[in-house]
Amino acid sequence: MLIIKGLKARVEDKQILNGIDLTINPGEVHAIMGPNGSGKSTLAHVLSGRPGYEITGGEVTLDGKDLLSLSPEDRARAGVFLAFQYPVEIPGVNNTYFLKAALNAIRKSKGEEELDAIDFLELVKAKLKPLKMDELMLQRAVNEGFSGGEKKKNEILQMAVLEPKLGILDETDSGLDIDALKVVADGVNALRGKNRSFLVVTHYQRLLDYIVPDQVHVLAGGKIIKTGGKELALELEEKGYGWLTGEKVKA
Amino acid sequence: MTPKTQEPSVEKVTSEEYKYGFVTDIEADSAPPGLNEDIIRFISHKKKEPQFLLEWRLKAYRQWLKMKTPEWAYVQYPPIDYQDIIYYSAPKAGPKSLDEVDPEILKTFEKLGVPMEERAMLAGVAVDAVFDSVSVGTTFKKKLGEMGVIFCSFSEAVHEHPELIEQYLGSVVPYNDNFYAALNSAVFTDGSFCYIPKGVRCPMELSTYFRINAAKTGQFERTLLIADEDAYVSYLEGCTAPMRDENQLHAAVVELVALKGAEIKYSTVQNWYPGDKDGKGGIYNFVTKRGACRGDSSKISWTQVETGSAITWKYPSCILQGDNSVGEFYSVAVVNNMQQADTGTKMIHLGKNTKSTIVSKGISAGKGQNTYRGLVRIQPAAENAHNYTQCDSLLMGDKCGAHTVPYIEVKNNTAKVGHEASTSKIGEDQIFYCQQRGLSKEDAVNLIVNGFCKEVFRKLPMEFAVEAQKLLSVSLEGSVG
Amino acid sequence: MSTLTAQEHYLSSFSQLEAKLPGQDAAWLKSLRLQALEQFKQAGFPTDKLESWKYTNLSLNLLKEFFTFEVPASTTVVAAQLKKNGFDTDKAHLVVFVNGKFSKELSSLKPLEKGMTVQNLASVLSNETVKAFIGKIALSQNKAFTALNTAFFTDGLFVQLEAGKVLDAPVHAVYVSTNGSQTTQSHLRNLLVLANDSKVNVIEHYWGENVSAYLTNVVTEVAMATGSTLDHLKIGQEDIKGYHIGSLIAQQEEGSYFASRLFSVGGALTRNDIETTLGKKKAECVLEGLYLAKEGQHVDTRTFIDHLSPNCNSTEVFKGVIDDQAVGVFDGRILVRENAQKTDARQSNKNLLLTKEAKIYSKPQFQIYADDVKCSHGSATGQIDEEALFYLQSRGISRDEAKKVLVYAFAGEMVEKVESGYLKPGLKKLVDSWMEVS
Repeated sequence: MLIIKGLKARVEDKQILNGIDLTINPGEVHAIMGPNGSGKSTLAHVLSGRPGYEITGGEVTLDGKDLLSLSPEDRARAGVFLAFQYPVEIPGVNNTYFLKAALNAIRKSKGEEELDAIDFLELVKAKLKPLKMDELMLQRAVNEGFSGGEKKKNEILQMAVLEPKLGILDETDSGLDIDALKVVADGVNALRGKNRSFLVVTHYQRLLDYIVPDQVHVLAGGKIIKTGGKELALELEEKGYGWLTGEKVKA
Repeated sequence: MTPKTQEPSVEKVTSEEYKYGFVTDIEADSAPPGLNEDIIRFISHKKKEPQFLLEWRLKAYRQWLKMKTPEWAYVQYPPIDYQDIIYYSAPKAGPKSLDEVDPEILKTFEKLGVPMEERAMLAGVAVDAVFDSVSVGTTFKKKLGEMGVIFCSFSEAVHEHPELIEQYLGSVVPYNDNFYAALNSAVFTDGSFCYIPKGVRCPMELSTYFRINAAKTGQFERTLLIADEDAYVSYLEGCTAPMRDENQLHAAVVELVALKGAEIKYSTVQNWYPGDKDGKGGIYNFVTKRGACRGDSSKISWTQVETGSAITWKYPSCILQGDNSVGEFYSVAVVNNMQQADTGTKMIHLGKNTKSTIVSKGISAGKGQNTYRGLVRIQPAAENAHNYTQCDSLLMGDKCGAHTVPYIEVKNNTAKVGHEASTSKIGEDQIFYCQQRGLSKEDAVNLIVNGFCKEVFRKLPMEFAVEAQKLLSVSLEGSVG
Repeated sequence: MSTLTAQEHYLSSFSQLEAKLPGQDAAWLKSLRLQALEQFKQAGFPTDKLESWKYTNLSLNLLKEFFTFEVPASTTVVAAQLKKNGFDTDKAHLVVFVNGKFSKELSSLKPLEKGMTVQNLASVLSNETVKAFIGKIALSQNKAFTALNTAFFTDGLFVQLEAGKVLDAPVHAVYVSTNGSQTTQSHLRNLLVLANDSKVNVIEHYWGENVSAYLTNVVTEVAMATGSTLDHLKIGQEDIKGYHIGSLIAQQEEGSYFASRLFSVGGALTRNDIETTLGKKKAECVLEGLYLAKEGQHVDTRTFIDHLSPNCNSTEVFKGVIDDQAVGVFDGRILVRENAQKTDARQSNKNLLLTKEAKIYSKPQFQIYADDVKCSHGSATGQIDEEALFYLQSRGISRDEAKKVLVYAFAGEMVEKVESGYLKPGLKKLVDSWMEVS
């Protein structure tokens, strides 16, 4: 489904990704781990088309479709969803309105009928429950004044509504207490299915106790330096990153 | 660029055109260009005005001759040749009802999206449409008449209620107030008049659509609105104008009087022709709007959405004379391309426990220059006065400007006055966030900008709020690449 | 009596005084003075029709006085008085001027290492640096008082630091005005020139002991090269007979840091203009001030920050306490030019009015021509919080005492922001004593 070949990217003069190769098959959950500055978040940003990065090599396809030539919104419409590490506040824009506009934009691009307000509200309310989110949150402005946990839950809610093919979680565990982490992980697990894949970017193994990955990749210096099963995450937790990166970097 | 799949579909930048740009061809009964006492006498005579009004016009004219064009605003334009302007033009036929209205004019309104009859009825809005300088039709007059509400063209009011005109005209904006107000006082041709009697709550939103038409016709509207004790009225003013190559002058005066316990809500959506991308054409909009909260516990609320005009010079103000009176100013001003706006408000606190709120949202795009200019003055007698001002500017593109010039004068220590202002670029992370959720860049920008203006839109009557949001999108087309 | 006559008084005085002004052997200065006089003639005294003088009307008071230029030399024991006021002058380079002229006896200039100069300006007028900067940073065009100063200045502080030089001990310049039955005036010119990566702390301290009205007109020019740091502090302690007109104009190069702090308590009428140009990238300025006014005092502070280059920061905090029938004016303008992307500019003005007759005029302004900026300003005016007053009273503190506590809490913030251990005790005393007598 997602195939990344030799992906290289830089920010201004700094080369960050130095040739990433990664294939994620439908239904799989892959974790990307690595020390600070290894390029984890850059990979998430580059896949979703965030401005500010220059692609200097390689290719990325989603179901055979070239992602890198698409605008961010077309990637989203093609099924790429990024759960932001720092969800953005948009003052004055109603959460429900925002989500409805997004869903209808995606539906329209697929030639599907747009949902009216009533159908949409029903849909959202159904998705809210498992996330233990208050309906009042829908009436508030997008992420404005939300607590860290609320923001992350809001990201998962959006993912649940937009039903992407590929969900990229960028350090979704950062800033969450254990209860919120469980709720978020449950939300993600409920979305797992044979046609939906996940790329989970995280610094700590903790999240992977709850979202159990099929494969774990270690990123350092902009390259995947080791790949293994879920037990690799535990090994990293115990030993840190030093033994893989030549003692230079500590977890 | 991404193909647009969003609705409402936004036109391509290149094909962007002023939506309401067309000219109605009707014979005008015009005065020759130029301004002198004879022209003023001509206007007054044409309109069969009483002597006091002619004298008032002449006083204003003589004062105007001694005045200079104000130069303090951050706007630039070539000098205006006041002798090259036609001060009176009227459609020849004198219609008495909608049926008699020139079909050309009605067609124009339709193109503007103002189907008077249906819209008026469906929306419960009484429309007093001003076409050039003469009122061409008034609806719902009867129904309002039963409640004692007078809502008619200014000329009509001069004939039917001269005592009210004589009492209130110039009582808020004196004929010598400023250069443009003096000019207007001398040559105004028509406008709206509204009187809400004691204790009456006007059951519908009153509305006027202004248009500029015949070539080289300066338009000088005069609006006078009086809410008697404990009365309430919500008044909507909307403007669209045909495309025009030459700059046109618009110098309106609006006077509001709120007596004891009365409340006036005055909402404006201003969409005069802004000129083309290179700044050619467009309306010069020099407006004096002022309301007097004359009685205790009265309230005047100005809400404006300014998207049009090449130059906007306008400061809807409140004089808070009555104790416990309240003044409000909610404004969205958008400039794109070569537009210039210098707008804001004055809140003059005279009475005790008076309160004012100012919320100004400025959006600058293209090479537009947007200035908030405001005065909050707390006079010594204004015990326990409160003011809160919030002024936010959003910048889109590196050629535009956003300026904030507040004047805060506090002469009573029991006052509480707070002013906050911020200026920043439209958030790139916000745009990306929206795009990541599948919205196009244009839609993302519209969404964010509308969110930015939310506080002001919320104050508009429903149908106006929708129109305002649409206008905003159209005005900002092509401003984010 | 019209402004014209006052203007004529200055013009005719010049021809009488010209030969006595310092710098007779510097031809460039002579022509600069003449040019400035011409500019003064053009500009005339400012009236309240001028936007920058909207709230300060000079014609009513200042311009009625025909101040004489010839002032008596007089001695006061400056160092001892400063010590009493909390400034340990042993730790500073003390430079004293009396009635516009340098007083060697009252000053205590310590030896300095090579590459550092602290002198009175009149003694270095042949210096090339002086020639290069005087009148180049503070322009006289359309500025009557700057023009007058350029034409008439007699002396002032000169500080020059060569590249990399750091002067640890503060330079404390004291400008004393004292007169008898005759009104007097003095025009002081200060020049601070900082080369790359140099650093200095300069205090301008104005103070008066007068019988008759007097005018102090001061212009300070500051040239800051790449990476230099200036901590500037001005104390305005003119007496109630004094009219103080001051301009502090800085020009900042890349990565320079300019802090200007103003503490103004004195003078019948005080006007301070503080301007800086962030001329090259990554320059930063911090402008802070506290103005305290009572009785019939009029204190007008005007600031202007010119963001000319990208990535510059400016922070501005001004507070005022206005008592009795006094009037306070704050006019803070920030200009962000087209090229100044990534500007971060913050401004705040807060005023406390202590009586019904006290007045404040606040005018925070932005002019922004670049889009990638973060700018904000706030202005708030009010009285002492009644709730807080009552709370303190309910704990047994008298109303008067409670008021003082709250005023100090408000004003003291500006003192607390000053890090220098040399200045803090003196500034505390300054604020305290203002409250004692108010």
